[in-house]
Amino acid sequence: MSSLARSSIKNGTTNLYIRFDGDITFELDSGLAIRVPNDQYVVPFVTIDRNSSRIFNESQREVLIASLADQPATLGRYFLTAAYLMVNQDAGTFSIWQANPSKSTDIVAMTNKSSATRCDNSASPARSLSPEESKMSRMSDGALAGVIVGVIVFVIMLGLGVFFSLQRRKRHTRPVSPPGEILGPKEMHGTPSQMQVAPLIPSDCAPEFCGPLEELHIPRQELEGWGNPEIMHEIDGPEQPAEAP
Amino acid sequence: METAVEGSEVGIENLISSSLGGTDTLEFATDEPLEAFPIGIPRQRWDRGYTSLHALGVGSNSTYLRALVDANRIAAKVWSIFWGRMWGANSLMDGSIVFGGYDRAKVIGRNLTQNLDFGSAGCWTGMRLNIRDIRVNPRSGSDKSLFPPNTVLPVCLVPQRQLLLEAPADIYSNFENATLTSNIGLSFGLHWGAHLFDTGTEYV
Repeated sequence: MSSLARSSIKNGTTNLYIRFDGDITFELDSGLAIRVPNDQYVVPFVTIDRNSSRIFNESQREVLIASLADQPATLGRYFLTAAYLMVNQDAGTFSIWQANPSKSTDIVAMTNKSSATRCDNSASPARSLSPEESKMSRMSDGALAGVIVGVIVFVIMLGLGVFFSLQRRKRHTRPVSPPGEILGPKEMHGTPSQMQVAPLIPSDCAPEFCGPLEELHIPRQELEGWGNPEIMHEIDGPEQPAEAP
Repeated sequence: METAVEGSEVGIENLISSSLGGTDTLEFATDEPLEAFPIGIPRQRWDRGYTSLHALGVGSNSTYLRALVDANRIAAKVWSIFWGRMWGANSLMDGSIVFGGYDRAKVIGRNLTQNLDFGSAGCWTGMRLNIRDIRVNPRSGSDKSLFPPNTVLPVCLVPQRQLLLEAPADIYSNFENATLTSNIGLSFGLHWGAHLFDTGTEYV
């Protein structure tokens, strides 16, 4: 009596509670097997309300498999809960791995043929371009112009420095250098030998692959530094002992 | 994704003409924003209601990937995705998308790499796979195959599709046979086309 009553509750249809709690495994070409956990394909019924909130029906479950007639079979987003996908449009390939459901990250950057041959270093480190670096790569034309200007000014300064050093040798007993001879202290520091001109770097090569652009900046700053306050202090330095009683 | 092909989202070819369009500043996480980036806002039911999420296009003509490459933000048109884990109370996990590379911490073992094929032998997403077998893994007992012998099922990998699998009806009925379940109809919620089951305590 009681079992008849139960089976007739739903209009004579037998409804089975979905008790299957196993996973499902897809075996692909090459033998790669992707195993999707049960809770990623047997899920509570959910719908999206007009106000974009989720509405659940806990009395129902959905198995996220659909039946098709003629349309192409598909693997959808829930396949990617167990598989990791990379699409490389430049190489024209896609790659699938078994996914490691991890919260840690280890980003590997990919290059294509044109970006790899443009620069020497084709082994991409696991890093990302920072805004400063990308600005530097675009400044390379400006930096090149700066190098040319720097070379010209350096040659002029070198000539003047040599000239003034010859002048100074005649008056080395004077305790104080006239403030006007700003070029002199640079020569005393031996700066002409420090002021190397960095080798020209190809303008279309990003610095993170082909070497720092910082070397190009140093000559420009040092050349600008003949108004540098530090060097002014050096000029004032010898005066202080004269002020002390 | 690619334009209208059998099996793809309905209405793609009308998307441009039927949507609202404009430009906006697009910014992801810690990146510098992309200024004046073109944005389209589909009107309701452009895909007859099947597609309910907004889309970031990463197909072969992707505006976004091209903008990242031109801004020297990425070195190649590459994108990778892990969907994360949903719905289970204990297993929730954020997914991730990487542009310009992939996340090595989220992969295990060797990959399967194939050429993208958008032709008639391929898929509108370019990603066609051949499935040699589908097995259910009961907690007790041995695995059960859903495939008839000597069957290979060609599938298209469609990352935005709302289900796990859309397969011929006979493979789905093998699933119910193997798991001793019987559905009560189809779902028309977020998981459009999924099979519905009761969770009543009574069973036969």
